[in-house]
Amino acid sequence: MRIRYAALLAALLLTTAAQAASVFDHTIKADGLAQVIAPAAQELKRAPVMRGRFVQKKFLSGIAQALQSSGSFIVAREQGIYWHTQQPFDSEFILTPTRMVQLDGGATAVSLSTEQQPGLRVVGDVFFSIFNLDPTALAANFSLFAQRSGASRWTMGLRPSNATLAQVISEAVINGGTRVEKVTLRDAHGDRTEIVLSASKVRGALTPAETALFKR
Amino acid sequence: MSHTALRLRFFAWLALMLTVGALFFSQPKTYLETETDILALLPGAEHDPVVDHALNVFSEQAGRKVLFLIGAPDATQGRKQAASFAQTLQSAGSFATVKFEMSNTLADTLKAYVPYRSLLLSEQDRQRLQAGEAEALYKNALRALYTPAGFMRVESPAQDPLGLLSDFLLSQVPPLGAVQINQGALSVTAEDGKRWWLVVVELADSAFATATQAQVMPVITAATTQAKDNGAEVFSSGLLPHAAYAAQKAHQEVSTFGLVSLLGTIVLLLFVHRSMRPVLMSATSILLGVMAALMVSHWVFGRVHLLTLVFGSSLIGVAADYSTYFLTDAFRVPRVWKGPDALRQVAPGILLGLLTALTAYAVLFITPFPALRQIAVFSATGLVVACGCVLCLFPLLRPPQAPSVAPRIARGLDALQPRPRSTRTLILAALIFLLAVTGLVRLRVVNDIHLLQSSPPHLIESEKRVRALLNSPADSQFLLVTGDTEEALLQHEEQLRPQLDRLQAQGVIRSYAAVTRALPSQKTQNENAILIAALAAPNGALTRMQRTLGLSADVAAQQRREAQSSDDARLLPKTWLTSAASASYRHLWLGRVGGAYASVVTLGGIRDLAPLQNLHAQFADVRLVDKVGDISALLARYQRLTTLMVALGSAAVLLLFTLRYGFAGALRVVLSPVLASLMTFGLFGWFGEPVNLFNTFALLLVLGIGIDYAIFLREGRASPQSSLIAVLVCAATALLSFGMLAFSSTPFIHSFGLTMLLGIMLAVVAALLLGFPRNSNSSKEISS
Repeated sequence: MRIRYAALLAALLLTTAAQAASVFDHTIKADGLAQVIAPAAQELKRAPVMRGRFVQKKFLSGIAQALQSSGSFIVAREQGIYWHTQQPFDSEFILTPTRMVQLDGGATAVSLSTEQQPGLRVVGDVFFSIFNLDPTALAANFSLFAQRSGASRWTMGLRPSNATLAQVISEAVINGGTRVEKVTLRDAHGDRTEIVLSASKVRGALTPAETALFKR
Repeated sequence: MSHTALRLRFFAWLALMLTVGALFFSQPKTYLETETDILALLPGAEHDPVVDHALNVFSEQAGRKVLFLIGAPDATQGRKQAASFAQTLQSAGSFATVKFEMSNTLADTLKAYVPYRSLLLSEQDRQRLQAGEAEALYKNALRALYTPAGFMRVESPAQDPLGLLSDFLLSQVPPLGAVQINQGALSVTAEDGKRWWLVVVELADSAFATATQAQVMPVITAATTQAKDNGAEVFSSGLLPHAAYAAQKAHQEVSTFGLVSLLGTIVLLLFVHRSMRPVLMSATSILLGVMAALMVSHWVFGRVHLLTLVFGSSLIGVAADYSTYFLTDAFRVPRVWKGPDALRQVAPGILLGLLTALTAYAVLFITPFPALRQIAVFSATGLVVACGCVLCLFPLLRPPQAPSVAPRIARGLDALQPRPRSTRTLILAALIFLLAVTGLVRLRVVNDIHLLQSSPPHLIESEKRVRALLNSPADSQFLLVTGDTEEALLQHEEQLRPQLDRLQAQGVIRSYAAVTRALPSQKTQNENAILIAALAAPNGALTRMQRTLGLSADVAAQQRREAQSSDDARLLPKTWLTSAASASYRHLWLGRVGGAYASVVTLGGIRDLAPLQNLHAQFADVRLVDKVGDISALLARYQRLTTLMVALGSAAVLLLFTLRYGFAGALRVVLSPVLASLMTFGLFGWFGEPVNLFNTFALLLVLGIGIDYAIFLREGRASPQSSLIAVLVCAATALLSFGMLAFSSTPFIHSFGLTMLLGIMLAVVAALLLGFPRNSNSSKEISS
């Protein structure tokens, strides 16, 4: 038993070390980061709304098996994030700058305002700054690390620069090219979440039904 | 009176005065020490000592906090300025705490609660479990696993599969109002989009402590200047800046007014007597009076309030009256005047005056207003001593003869003498009366706490700005919960909370903070233990979630054992208070006060007070405390009381004087201050100046002093010129002392002073108008 844990721990440490070696050695300033992630940022600038599918894997500390979910998402600049989990069960998650709403089968299960729950804003800030790829906003909350790999491919590393954020997240690694492709979040209590974003489609404005989602 | 008796009295009083002086100078520092807490002067609003004590404890704590909002045109620049502002304060080392960046308290809080996890539930989870909806908890936990909702969890699902402790911790986040966490610090965004950063400091001692003010204010000023030089704006909120300003202002006013009053009186006396000796005699009597007053006040009250001194500085004026009555008697028989003869002439008038004044002060002393009781004791002592000096010491101190009165002045005095009533006087009196009555109709009465504040507009503006930006709970309105034991107190608070939740849902309040959110009663902990144990049953939500997670069998079994170990020690107030878990709530726990335990429930965004006031009817151990309202109501109540005292006092004096002067004579004496008072308030009505309790208090003194003038003119009919000189000099010194207070920047001292200024002037006019016409023979005799 003890041996198995030790092996697991070693493996974890190794993967962390490998990752750290690749990104977290390269400190960067906001303007430097802007250059590195320029391919994706320019794409994003053209598209106020981004849609796609995701696959999320959660690795809990002390549990070998990963928890996998998948579904679709919409990131609408300045409006919010709509995260529709379809597998293993249907659940919608809407995050706007002032509110978080969870829907179960279309009915509101949880609705929280940032005023009721200040911690929500901290979580929201992380998500918005990651998906909006805004170097200035990121620099306000994180120490920045970045690296180019290949013509338009890049890896960005984030470590919280203040204690409040560190209570939620210990580090994030984001890989991409002309768009964000993979987000790896390591939270404060040691769990790791990997989100692979695929087939991101960029299309005009939100449909009225989608706009209504962010008004809930 | 025989010369021997005079000498005996002289030396006896001299010995007494030397003792007073010796006692005073044995520890002058103690007797000169003053207190500046303005609220200490107000009576407790509640009659329940537990409530009063609890209020004091809470206000004292709340008073130690100072909030600063720092903003710059650019948010990042603003944060930098706020950080260096906090750094400057921190490095000065004179604050108990300086908070800017939020520290990682969540981990410490979690650590403090973990041993008790099988006893703790958030209110929502508890209600669900009580309603048999464990499935909802299971569903929430699932969502946390597969959706972004999981990022809100405080612990890993591997440690807390159902997220019970996470929910408990998240449910007790204190309401921050409009404040948000930004870049690891607290900030608010104004409507114009500008971001303001919050720095909160806590003082090591009371905001009223002179030492604290002296230590801390320069540091704050330096940090503020530094921030402003760098283009940032700084607003502050808290008791400290106001208290420091008021203390500084009061010290300044005491010394300015005291000095002006003293110098003015000296110049006046020099002009009247053309000799230094009367000045020295007056000064000695006043000085001894003040020393004795300070000592007696200290013995009676322990500490003398600075405001007592402000009012007390006006004592100089009244004490000087006695010397003046005595010394101006010299004008009665120029060149052949003798001290002992003067005594016979003026003693009855002076003693009658002292008696009236002491009666007035005795009435003040029985009010429950600590401020007034202090002023009463202070002034009564001062007057008795000054009077004693005049009557016992002056006759043998060989006061100088009166200088000859210049013809011009003699003519002027003559013109002022009361005359036989003519139609003109009557018309004039009728007009004045009409003016007064029409003014009185327009009079507005305003009593509120702002009367007690002397804060300059920039401090009030700053305070308003901060409150508006933060949308923060007002610390002057809150609920006080009591109980005989700690457990009883916690249970009372828990019984109250569902009602508060309803009021919150109805929009009566926007938020509230209560200790039991973070520290459930043992009763609730017992109930929780049973609810949580049920989740660990073979098919319970906890067990199912453990399977979903794929937890190893031994970890899962250990978790279930913990959930079912209901005989664990309970989380007790003592443990909680000393742990990191209580950081956000500790200030609400007042602990043992008087014979009971008390806690405070703060209220944010109160929209309607009535339902909150009604809580007491439903919950006997819950009371709404409304300091602003209470103080205003209190002031209004005392104003009605003093108005009644002025009326009753006038009637009593009328009755007393009827014995000596007959009804018509007594009416003339009493009418002059009464008319002066009516006219004063009439003028306030005409000029739209609202009156308050302190105007009415001044009327009490106008009555006392005005009657003195009328008595003296009446008693001194045999020598109209000398008594007129006496009254005029007295009025001038009174104006120099009381009148000065009209220029105070503290609203209530200003009200008091202005009433005195007008009242005294009008009282002299009325006394002359209503006075008995002189006997034409005697006047010729004097002026020849």
